[in-house]
Amino acid sequence: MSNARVLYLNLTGVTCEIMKNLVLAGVAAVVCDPRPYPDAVRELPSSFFRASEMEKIIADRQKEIKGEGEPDSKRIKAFKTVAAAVAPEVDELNPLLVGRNAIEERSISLLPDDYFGQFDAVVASRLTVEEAKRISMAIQKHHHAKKYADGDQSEENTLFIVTDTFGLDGCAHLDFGSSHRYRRELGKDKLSDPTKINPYVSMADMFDVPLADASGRWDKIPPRVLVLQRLMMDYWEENRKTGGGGGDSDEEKSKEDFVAFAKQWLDTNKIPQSSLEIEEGQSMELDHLAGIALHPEVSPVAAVLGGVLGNEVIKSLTRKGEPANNVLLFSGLDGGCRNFLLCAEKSRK
Amino acid sequence: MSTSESSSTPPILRGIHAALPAPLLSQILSSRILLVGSGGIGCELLKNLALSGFRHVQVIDLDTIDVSNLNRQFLFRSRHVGMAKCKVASEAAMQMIPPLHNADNDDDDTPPAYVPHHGNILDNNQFHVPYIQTFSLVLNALDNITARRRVNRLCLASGIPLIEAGTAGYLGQVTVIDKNAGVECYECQAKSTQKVYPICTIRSTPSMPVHCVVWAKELYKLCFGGKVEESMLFEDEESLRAEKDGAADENDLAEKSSADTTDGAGKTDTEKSTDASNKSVDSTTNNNEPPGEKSTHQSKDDNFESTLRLAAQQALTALFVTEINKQIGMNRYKNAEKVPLPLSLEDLEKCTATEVIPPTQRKDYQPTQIWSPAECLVEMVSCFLQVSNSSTPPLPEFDKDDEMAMRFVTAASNLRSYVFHIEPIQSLYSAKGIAGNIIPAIATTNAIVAGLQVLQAFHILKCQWMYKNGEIEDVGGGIKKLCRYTYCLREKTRRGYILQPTTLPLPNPNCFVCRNAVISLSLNTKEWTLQMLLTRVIKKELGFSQPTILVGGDIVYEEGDDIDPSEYASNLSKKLIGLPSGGVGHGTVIGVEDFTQDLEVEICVSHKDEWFIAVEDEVAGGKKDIKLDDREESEKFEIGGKKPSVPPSAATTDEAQTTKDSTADDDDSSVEVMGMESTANNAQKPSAENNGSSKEAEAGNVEDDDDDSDIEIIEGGTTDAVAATSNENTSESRMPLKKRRLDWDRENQNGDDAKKAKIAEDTPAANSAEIEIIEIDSD
Repeated sequence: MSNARVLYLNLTGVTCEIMKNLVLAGVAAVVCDPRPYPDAVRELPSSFFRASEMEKIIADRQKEIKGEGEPDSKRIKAFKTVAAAVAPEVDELNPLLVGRNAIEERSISLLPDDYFGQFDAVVASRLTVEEAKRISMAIQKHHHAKKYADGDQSEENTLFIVTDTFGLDGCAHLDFGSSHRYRRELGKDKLSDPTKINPYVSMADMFDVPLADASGRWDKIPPRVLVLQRLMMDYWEENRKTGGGGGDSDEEKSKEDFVAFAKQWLDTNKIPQSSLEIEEGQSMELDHLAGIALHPEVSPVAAVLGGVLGNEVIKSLTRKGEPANNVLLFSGLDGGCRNFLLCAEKSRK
Repeated sequence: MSTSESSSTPPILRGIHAALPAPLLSQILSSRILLVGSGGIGCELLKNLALSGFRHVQVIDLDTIDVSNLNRQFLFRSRHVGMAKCKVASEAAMQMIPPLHNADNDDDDTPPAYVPHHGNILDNNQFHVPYIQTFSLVLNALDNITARRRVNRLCLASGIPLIEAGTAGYLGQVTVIDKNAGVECYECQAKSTQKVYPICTIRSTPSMPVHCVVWAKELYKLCFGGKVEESMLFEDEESLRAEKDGAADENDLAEKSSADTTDGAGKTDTEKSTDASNKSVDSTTNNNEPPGEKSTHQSKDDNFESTLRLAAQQALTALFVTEINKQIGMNRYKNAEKVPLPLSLEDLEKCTATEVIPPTQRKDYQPTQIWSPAECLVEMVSCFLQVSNSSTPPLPEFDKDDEMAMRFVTAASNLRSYVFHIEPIQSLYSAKGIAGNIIPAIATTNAIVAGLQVLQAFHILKCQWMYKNGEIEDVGGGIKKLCRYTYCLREKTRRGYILQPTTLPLPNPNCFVCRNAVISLSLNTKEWTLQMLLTRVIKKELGFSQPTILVGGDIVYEEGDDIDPSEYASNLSKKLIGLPSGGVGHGTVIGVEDFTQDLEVEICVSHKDEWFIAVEDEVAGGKKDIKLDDREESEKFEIGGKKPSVPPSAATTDEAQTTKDSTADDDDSSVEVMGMESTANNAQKPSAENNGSSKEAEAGNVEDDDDDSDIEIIEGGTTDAVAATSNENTSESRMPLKKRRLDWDRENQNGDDAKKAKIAEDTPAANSAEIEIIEIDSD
């Protein structure tokens, strides 16, 4: 574990929490987030970013634009990526990792396919479904090639987590890699023989399961939190394309856009409205959901899910303990977090 | 949320504003939070609170920052070592509070303040009921039962909701305690803190590493403690003789007693040896020289050291050779599986007479190394030398964080393990785990429970706000409905839960702490005497027959069949404020016990010197008026809450009895070891008509934060964790629990007791039983 490195793609409340937990535990961090600081992380509740500092930068910038404050050309030029801004904070958290932490300022689309497989884990937030699938296949390819080269001896794997929180809820898709073997904990000091994850579903396959078919023994209909993550992923992707939502753009307009988008999205994906019910008959209003889609970050939700996922990364690194296969659903309303198996009908049987 | 509202909300709080019902954010901004503890969970809580917009938080913590805290308690850096935890943590959290955008925000225009109190929550002068009552809610982030019980009682007495949390390794739990909600309090379930080891097991027939560690801790006390008689290894000559005489007839007992005699004699040798060392210290430093100048007199020093070495050798011979041979000679082990093997005198001489570098001073030393018998001997000698050469006296009590004490205990316990063929031999690191009952704290678990605590805080604030707005009838009812008892598990339940919420358990009807048995009493403490309190309130009003009254933990009055009434008679005429142990004033909690009724209550006193009574004013046509109360002083008091009911004594007495008997096989001489509770006790907890979920899930119930990277082990689940650390055989008694599983029909859960919890094959106990502690420390 002492040589492990984890790649963080896009910092959000939950990925910052995972990073904080793992950096404290001595796992080096490579942060990839080329978004501009502080704008991209202004709403992000994390000990790595101080609200007072971020708001001051933004206020100063506005003064300059208006021509009020002192002209300070240096500050305007000092464009910083989120990755560059967080780097000193990460180093400071655990001085033993200085020199092993790194940042990556290229955007995900510019990272070559063989980049991702070198890490012990890739923890991503705010990905699009396409990005998730691409990285999944790139990681598989990397380890497949390695395995071939090592004559089938390689036991290396890369845990790939795609996680987001939205309001009081949060969700994560986890792919431990097809070659991952773990030892179950049997009482004190005893471990089982290495066990395969069964059934194994790659991240790409998870995203290929039609959402309407995502049911299981305890879920007659697709779980609400899973539906929400996918809706959010698609909505945020749409926003990025159109440049809408978030920031200081018209809040009301953005909300209307979301409601329209969500209605159509539920339709396209054949998701019954009842999937969004928190309790029977108590539906989540799309209008309320719009506010959450625009402002998804809630500190304690990120803390809980970040803790749970931190544990999953440790399980993967130590190969001890049964991993969560393959989706984790967290509902902050009651504090429950449970495992859900997302797979096509065939592989479940 | 309108555009303008959104832009006036600090960006970091917009998510909370969007997710929670609109008025809740202003409720958060203006609430007052008390946080008790700023260790592992406390740091996480402070971060979550600051980033959620809480602006008024007070933090109580007694501790200062230790190097070992840095890898979990993420608000602390190496430059902070030695500083007060609560101060550093508060300052760090203050930096994270989002600034409010506009000053004219009338929700809260006072500047944010995170106020540290570097003090002890047990200090009643500072932290009492009136103080607690100034807060919206209290968050516990503690590492010991005493403080938890204290906060539990303070909160119950104040009617302030408490969010309690604890972690042990990968396990944890969060719950909400609130008097008005009618839910289980911290003390509803007996928190048996001690595992009782028979004293003869420790002294004569050890069979597990923990027995040797306990013995070594007692040996430390005997060698370095201020009061040797406090060590269980100590026996004075007189009682030895008496014991021998008394038991002379019975062969079996005689054997045991003579064993004890020789045991004691062995220790007496040790005392003599250590005495000898001390005397030689005296003689060398007698010539008015400060101890520091000893080094200038080389020849004298050599002499001094060889005297010490000889003394150490004598002590070690007494402990590991003479004593063992005596026990073998008495046929003590004729039926034992293995007969102990004393250390060889040759080895002893070799290791003590010459200078060998002890293992802890070697360059390649690691705390995880296992020492050979010879290395243990050398280490012990170096401890004796260190004590004799140092100008500062050793700690009188063993402390796992004291470097010398830990070396001593590791070496001594391992030597005993070698002698008694007990495996495995412990490294210093693992011995520390046993000695301090350490479970390495895991940062992720702290993060999880702290997050869950803040989510519960949201619920409580919502209830308080709804009550204020008349939407619900009482806050307690809302809390009972909205809040959850959440287990943090290592292995998922059948339905896949790793964070398993359950409705808040119902209180134990016999709980003296929360079932109306905490009484608030207002009276004039400057006028009332103890006699008045005794006759008017305790006997007449509360129905005690033979009460024992305690103030500040000390008895001020006692009565009963075999108690001399004159002993405390002088206190009866004293005014309450003038009683011993600091007296009874505003905020004092008086303990009253009555063993004849198996009843124990606490009375929280509020001082009130002006009393008024309502009178019908005839002139004003029946209109009510008030006037000064002119009745007798003994009539001027007010009791809040209901009177405690006297429970049927049989049930609770039995329970207490079995708990004790279950582990002790040697009634009058047993040693209590903090925190090594057997799961057997859990099975015997009162099976009151409590709801199933809490009972069955109990074994998964774990306690404690790690404040100091270590925790004291309190409940079943944690015991298992200890077992994992200490390599002990865990008892079979938890197996029945393992067969069951708490399952939760979430679709049917919502506040509906009838459908609440179903018990399937295996409870979370199964998970807790199977956890293994994985160290994730970076260093």
